[in-house]
Amino acid sequence: MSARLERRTFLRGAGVCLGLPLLEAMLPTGKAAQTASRKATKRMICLTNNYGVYQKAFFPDQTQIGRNYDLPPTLKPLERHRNEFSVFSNLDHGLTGGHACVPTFLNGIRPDMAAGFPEGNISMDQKAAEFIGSATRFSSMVLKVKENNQVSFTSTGVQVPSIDVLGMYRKLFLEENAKSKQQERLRLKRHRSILDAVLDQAKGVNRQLGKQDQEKFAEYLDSVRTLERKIEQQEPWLDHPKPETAMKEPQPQRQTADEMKIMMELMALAIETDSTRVMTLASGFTNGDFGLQGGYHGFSHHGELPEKTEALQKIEGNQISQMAYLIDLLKAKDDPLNGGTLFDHTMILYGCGMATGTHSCRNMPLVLAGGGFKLGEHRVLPAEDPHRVKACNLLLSMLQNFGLEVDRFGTSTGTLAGLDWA
Amino acid sequence: MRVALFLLFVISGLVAGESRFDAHRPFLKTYCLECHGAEKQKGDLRFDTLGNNLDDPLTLEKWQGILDQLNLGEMPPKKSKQPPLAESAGVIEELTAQLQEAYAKRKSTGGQAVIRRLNKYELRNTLRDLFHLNHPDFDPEVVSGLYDFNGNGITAQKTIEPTRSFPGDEEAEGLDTIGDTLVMSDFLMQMIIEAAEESIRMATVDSQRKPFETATFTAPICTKTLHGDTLGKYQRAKGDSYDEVFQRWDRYNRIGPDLYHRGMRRPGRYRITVDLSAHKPADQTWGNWTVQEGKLVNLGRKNPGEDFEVGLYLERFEHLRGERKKRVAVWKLPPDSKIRTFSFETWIDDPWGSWVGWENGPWFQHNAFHVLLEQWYPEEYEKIDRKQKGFKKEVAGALFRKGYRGPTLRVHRYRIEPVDQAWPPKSHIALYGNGSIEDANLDQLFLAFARRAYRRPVRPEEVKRFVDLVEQLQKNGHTRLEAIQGAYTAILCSPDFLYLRQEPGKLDDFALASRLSYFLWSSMPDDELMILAKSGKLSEPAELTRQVDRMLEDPKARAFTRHFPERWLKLHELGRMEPDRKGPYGHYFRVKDSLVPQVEAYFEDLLKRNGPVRELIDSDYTFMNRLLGELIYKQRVVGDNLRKVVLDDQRRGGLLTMPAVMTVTANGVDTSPIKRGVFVLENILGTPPPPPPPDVEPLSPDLRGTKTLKEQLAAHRNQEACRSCHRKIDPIGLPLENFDPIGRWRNHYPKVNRNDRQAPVVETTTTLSNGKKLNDIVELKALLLERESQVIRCLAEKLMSYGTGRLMEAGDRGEINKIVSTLETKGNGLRDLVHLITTSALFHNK
Repeated sequence: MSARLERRTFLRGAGVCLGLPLLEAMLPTGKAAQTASRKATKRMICLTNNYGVYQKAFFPDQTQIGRNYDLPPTLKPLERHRNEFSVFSNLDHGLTGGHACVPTFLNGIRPDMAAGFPEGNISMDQKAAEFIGSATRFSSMVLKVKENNQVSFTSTGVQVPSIDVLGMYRKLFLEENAKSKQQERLRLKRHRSILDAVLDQAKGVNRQLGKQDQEKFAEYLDSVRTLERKIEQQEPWLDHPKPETAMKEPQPQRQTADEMKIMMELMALAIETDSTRVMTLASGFTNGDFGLQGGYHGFSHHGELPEKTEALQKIEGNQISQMAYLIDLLKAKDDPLNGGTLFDHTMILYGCGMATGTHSCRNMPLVLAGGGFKLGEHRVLPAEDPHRVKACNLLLSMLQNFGLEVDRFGTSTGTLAGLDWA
Repeated sequence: MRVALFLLFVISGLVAGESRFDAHRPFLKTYCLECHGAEKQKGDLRFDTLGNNLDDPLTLEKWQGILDQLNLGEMPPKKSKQPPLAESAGVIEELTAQLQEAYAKRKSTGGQAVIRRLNKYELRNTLRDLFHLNHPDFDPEVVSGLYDFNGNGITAQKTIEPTRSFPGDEEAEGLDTIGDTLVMSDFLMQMIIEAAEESIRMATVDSQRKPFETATFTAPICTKTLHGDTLGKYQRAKGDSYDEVFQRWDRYNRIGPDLYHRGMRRPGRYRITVDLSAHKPADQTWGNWTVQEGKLVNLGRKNPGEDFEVGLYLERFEHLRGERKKRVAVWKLPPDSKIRTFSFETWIDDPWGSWVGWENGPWFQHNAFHVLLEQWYPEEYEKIDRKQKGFKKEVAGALFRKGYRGPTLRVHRYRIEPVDQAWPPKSHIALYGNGSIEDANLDQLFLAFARRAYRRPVRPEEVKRFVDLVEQLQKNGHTRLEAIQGAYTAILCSPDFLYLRQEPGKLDDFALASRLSYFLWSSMPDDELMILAKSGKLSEPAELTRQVDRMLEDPKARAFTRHFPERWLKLHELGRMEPDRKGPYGHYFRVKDSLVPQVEAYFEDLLKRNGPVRELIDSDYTFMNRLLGELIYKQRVVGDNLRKVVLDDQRRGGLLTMPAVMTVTANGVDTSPIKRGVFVLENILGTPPPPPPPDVEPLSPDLRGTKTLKEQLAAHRNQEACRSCHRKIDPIGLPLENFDPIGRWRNHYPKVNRNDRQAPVVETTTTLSNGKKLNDIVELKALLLERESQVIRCLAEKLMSYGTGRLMEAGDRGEINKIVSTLETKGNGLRDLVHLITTSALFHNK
């Protein structure tokens, strides 16, 4: 249960800047910001699909290790960011179960195994979101384009429902209606009054306890106080106006690529306005994309038929090229919190828990960009069984980069050796 | 910092004074101080000033570091002077024991229970009893969790009980009732508020709604489950005055009223009355049919005169959560065509409905009844054009015209009536009184509620703050109903509800009532216990014994027979490492839902009849159902419900070799004698070995080499670092190698390569640390039974820890020994053991 303590310590430590929503005007800019705050503020974006990739077009030649490797066809769109991303070979969660592994992308734990782990099958993004708490309006955003997002789980095993471009736009920029705002305000008030009444009573109980019991009971008193404080922190967001934008309300698009482009722009806006620092997006396919007739699932069972593998390469190539576009957008924006560009402090992970459409979960596709990581390579990890490395090690490295003081996540055995960050 | 530490060491050294630790100093001086002494402090470590006071965590950590290095053989470095093996072995052994003692002392709570919060299981049961909720999701055996109903990655919670999404509780030695270990957090507090609000909503009804009125259903009672061209559908069309069933129930052949097919919608107690008749043709030609490869095969019938068995089922219909059903009654009727009336009273909750099904009827594939006609009346069958559209209808027509020759069950009437269904129900009245909520007497209602919630007498002024809260919430803009619910939520979030606490010394009767009920029911005390506590009679020995017996007879005691063995044997870890669904151990998935129930049934049976504890180790019977028999035990058993059977294979008796235990001690791929050995030492013998030193490569049973597993273990045991513990662990675990990762008997390991001529043989012969030979599981069980009192002591300690909420410590040994020796004079019965636990001084003190 160390996570809870961490969060608590973090809140205590960061109490001052959490009190109120951050406003750009209040912050020092440029270099001063970097020196002023002890740690940079990081963001995390995860991109995934529900069917894995066509591995032959995705992974570089296994003998080309390090910086000088030929970009495989699917990764070609990332050419212009070549020095700022790495692709990893031979990483996975060591699981089986085909589609049931799709939800394991960000935790290494199938939902049915969750009961056996102290934090259940919480996903990396939600772990990061817990850390963010109410520092931003949305602790995380779980997004979808054409297909449901299946990878985000809270520590209580709830699969976080995902929203599409329209839903995201409304959350980011449109004020909620007065009635639901009022209900939420009532709920927060009610919970605060309840906690107040309870705390009062608890202080009386505490006086009756012996020393040993008091030590234990401090947890309760602490929990009630912390929760009260958290509720207090949530309340200002209700009255704090949402940022304004020149962007018009988007409509769902016929073509997946068009809708993804809008999504990328919204994600960049969300980071720019510091509405959230954690986002996870799953994208799919719709009949007619790129002039293709069929279904994503059908293509993924390609049986090495050229028309199907080519279709897959188009779909996956688009996902990668959207990632490249997102990088463009983030590179073009100054980071008001840390200085530098937004991309310097935003890590982007592309991957899928089910490695390939043929239900194999071995060798997950994993591409990491940005966030201050030292990248630009094809990393080949040991392929043989006793030496294989868990993909959760990469996730743990990302969480540590994000600022969490954890030394375990999911099925990790440590951080990913050789992956450093500034 | 360095200076401060140095001073600390010197002072702690002085305080501890003379100590057994000084025995290690010459060793340190000879082999360590050159690099870690006054002159050099390699790695910032200095041992000449290292103190003896292990209460100081820094000192303890340094000694542990020294032990780890010696164990690993890393220090002294290879080029330096090496201690002789015997010398270092002596230091290792002594130091290990001393450090274990220090750790135990640090963990100690001074022989006292610490205030403890209800764990999630107890909270769920308590909410059920406190609010008079009857929803089957609150049943003791229900385990909430995520369910992926069609395997596409989209999951939903299996249940709707309010603690369904709570995180797992912190555990100590597998137990989730240890006060010192259980933690509270703001995160959990938030969940508790929400669970409380949800339970209150479940207990509240919209009083506008009308109560249920008796409904009688006659033919056609049920048409909803008749999919496609079924024989049942054509029977209904005939206009008979009954619904006829021709086969064993499956997805289709279930008879329940159409109107309530999707649930009764109104929670309450109902009496279900069904008129049934059983029919069997005169000429005894019928039997148990099955369709194999398109042919009707008569399997015969063991007992042609057998009675019909009809089951009454409750079922929840909710698309996303998957099907859940539960048989509540079995009725038997002879096949004499007479109409008989059967009746059963049960609680039926909101999304649940009911139906009856024929349990032991013949079986043929759904709507494949044309084979019946082909078999019985071939000439009729020939006459029908099989290509035409109404082929099935013709077949059914011919069957009914010529006379259906198989046995059938007829349902003539299906009646549902509410049983003293007060409206609004008890759960509602307890919260809001009988009248309108505007004039509800809140002081009284809150007082009555708080007495039950706090499990103790409550003074009227204690609930004053909740009455004020109602007022405050109403001022904030809540309706009166919401405000009252808010006050109840506050009562549920208060420490008096969430925590079990005792005054130091002997427990008063109320604390005792709580301790008893959380031990045996994992829930709050009922009215009878509270009344006895109030009159001070509960702690009288005769009354206590009577109450424990009463509690064990109560259905709520399933919380004990289920939860205790599960925690004691760490079965809650099942599912952490499941085998591959398509691999050689895929059968696991077909039996996994019977694994823990099997353990429970065995434990419950033993407890019920006060059977000897030794039967937990070995017996000539066990509980099995058809699948367990077929897939795990290779023994023919009839029926899907667990039943007590005599074992064909006597090696498989007892709890220890049950598939649940063998699976939880394996990893889904292979087995490890070390893991199983440690399991037995920890949980059966109560002598846990110290944890392995850090950074040791785990033993991987690589069978590719020429070495057998046994040789590897031997090599392992010969390493100094490992020897002292593994000579105790391995010989206990090795005989269990005969059980594969899902608990089936095996004589061979799986082949390493498909082309290998022979699979490696499982060798279980081993030598105990005292030099005694041990051949196989039979001898292992005999050995454990020789140490029966040790096994009983271990179980007694676990029960006592589970019941008192604190781990047993060295100081509790005397009391535990007393229990063990008293039990021996009584014949070592399990139920007697529970009685001795509840009358022990340990149980009656904080």
